[in-house]
Amino acid sequence: MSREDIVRNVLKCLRSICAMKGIPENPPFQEATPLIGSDAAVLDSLGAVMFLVQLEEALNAANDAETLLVQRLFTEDLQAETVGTLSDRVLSLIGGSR
Amino acid sequence: MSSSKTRCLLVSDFNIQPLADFINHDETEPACEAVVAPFGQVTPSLLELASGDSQSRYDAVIVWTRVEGIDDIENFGAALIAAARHVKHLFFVTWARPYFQRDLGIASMRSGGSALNLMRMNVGVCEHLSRQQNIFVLDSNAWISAAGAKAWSSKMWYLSKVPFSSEVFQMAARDFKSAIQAIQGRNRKLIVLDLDDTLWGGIVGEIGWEALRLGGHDPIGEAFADFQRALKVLTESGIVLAIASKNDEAAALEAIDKHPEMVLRRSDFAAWRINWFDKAQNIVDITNELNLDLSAVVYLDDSPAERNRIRSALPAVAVPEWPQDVFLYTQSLLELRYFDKVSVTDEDRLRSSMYVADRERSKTKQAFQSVEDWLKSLDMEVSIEALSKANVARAAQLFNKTNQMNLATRRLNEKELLDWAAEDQHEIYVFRVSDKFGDYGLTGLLGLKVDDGRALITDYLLSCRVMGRGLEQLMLSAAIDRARCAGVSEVRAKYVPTSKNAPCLSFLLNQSQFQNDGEHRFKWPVSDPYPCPAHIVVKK
Repeated sequence: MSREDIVRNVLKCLRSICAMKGIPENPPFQEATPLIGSDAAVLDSLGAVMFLVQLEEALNAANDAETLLVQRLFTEDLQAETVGTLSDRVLSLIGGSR
Repeated sequence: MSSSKTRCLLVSDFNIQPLADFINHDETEPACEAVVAPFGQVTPSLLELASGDSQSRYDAVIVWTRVEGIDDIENFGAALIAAARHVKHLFFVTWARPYFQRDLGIASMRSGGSALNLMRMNVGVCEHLSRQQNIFVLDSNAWISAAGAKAWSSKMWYLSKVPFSSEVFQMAARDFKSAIQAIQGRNRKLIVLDLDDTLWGGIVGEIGWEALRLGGHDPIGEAFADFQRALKVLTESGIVLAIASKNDEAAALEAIDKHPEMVLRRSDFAAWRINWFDKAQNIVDITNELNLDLSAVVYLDDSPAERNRIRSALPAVAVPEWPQDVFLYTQSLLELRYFDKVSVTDEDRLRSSMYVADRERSKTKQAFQSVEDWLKSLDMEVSIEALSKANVARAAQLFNKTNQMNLATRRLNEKELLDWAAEDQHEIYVFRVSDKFGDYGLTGLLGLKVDDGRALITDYLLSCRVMGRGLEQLMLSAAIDRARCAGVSEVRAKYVPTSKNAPCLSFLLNQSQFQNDGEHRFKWPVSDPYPCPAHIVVKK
């Protein structure tokens, strides 16, 4: 799975959670969009958890394998992340080609 | 908080925020504003509600707990009932257990087994709550089975104390909103159907009724027959069927009358327009004939082009997407949320036959020289009853659905109606109507408030099915009789305009003979006899 694929999945899951929580996409989401862990973050703590679980399911389906993404992320320190930095972390955790 | 939104409180021993999110941001009607009670504080939240402190803040309360959090069913049920006294509606969500919680397999359904105990707990609490008119039960098992194996999310539980996946909460939010719609009497009641490849397989005008695929030892025919059976069941709960089909009328009716596997016959349809005209106009004609609003209609058609035509021409009509796959027809019908209702009354069960009787009445009307002669020929009878627990379900339905002949268009649920009528000097009467063609059931309601030497008509509403037959005058006459008994000198009525009740104002201005006091106020001196229609017999 390429980094572009991961970014695409991150944005798709982010939009899905935002739709559920009524969070508008303004400005448009992009790699610099702060996801979690800062005052400017798009998602609150529950939203972040739902987003990560949904992202793991999407990546599992795409990879046809258990990525254990959430477990791996929570094993490490999950701090402030943007769409881009999270995509990098995901790429390093589950492997793939840039 | 916006006053137009239904305000909800969610009480739970798990993190129920996802349900609040779906309720708040789902675009389906009604608009709601849900807030979550403090996490895990089920008993304190119910006690606070029972104290009445939060009485004015919430229209609805949803209580959804895990079964592990319940110590005593009776105490829990009593707490729900106490809380419900201070909110409009309280919803209890049934308990469920995850599919992976097998316990000891078959032992779980034996005496003392966990699965059997859970069933008993659900039945026990539902029975305990069933006598409460403003407590409703939502079935979580339907949402969980729809979400499948992913319904329970161990991951979400450990990370955020959310036991279910988003799909479960989404289904719950939709069912909750449908329930609110049903309580508010905003469910739809007319299904307009296409015929070819919707009600049966094939084009009847081309292949003849004998060659239609319907019933028999044929999976496709069986699917169409099952679809008809599901529609037939809906008619037994008050949903009315009609046909709008581009077809040759004689050929189509012949199929309906003669095909041996037809489940729905001519008498199951309240009206039909089978011709080559625009279906949108045909649907408008059908609603005019049945005296129904377009917002009461659901249109089912296998043709995407016809569906789009109706959507654009008649936006008030609900036009669900319809599968190309006939094997999914019945499932698609059963999944629709348009027909939810709080209870099924005798009037609901008889509605289809009432419309058929109406057709017979209309036919006979043409044979008379005057409307008066026709009315006399109907042998109408009316019985008048005080509001009671026995008739409140239908009364509330009428109260919340009647738009046209409605003086004030108040909206009250069953409990609120009974509570209002129980107050000093408040009275509510209901009117049952029948004629030689059949029983219309409970079709009129009169609310009175007697004080200061006057009787004020607070509620005056009549089903559109019996409008224009003298019942309007008979109900006013009943109000005046009651005022006379109470010893007051005057009956007053104040019309409250809405977008739909102009017929009521027209009647008051032109036919009631009440004095127009200006500003939509009308009155009648009790000392004057009121001309009661002679063609209606009032049964005591």
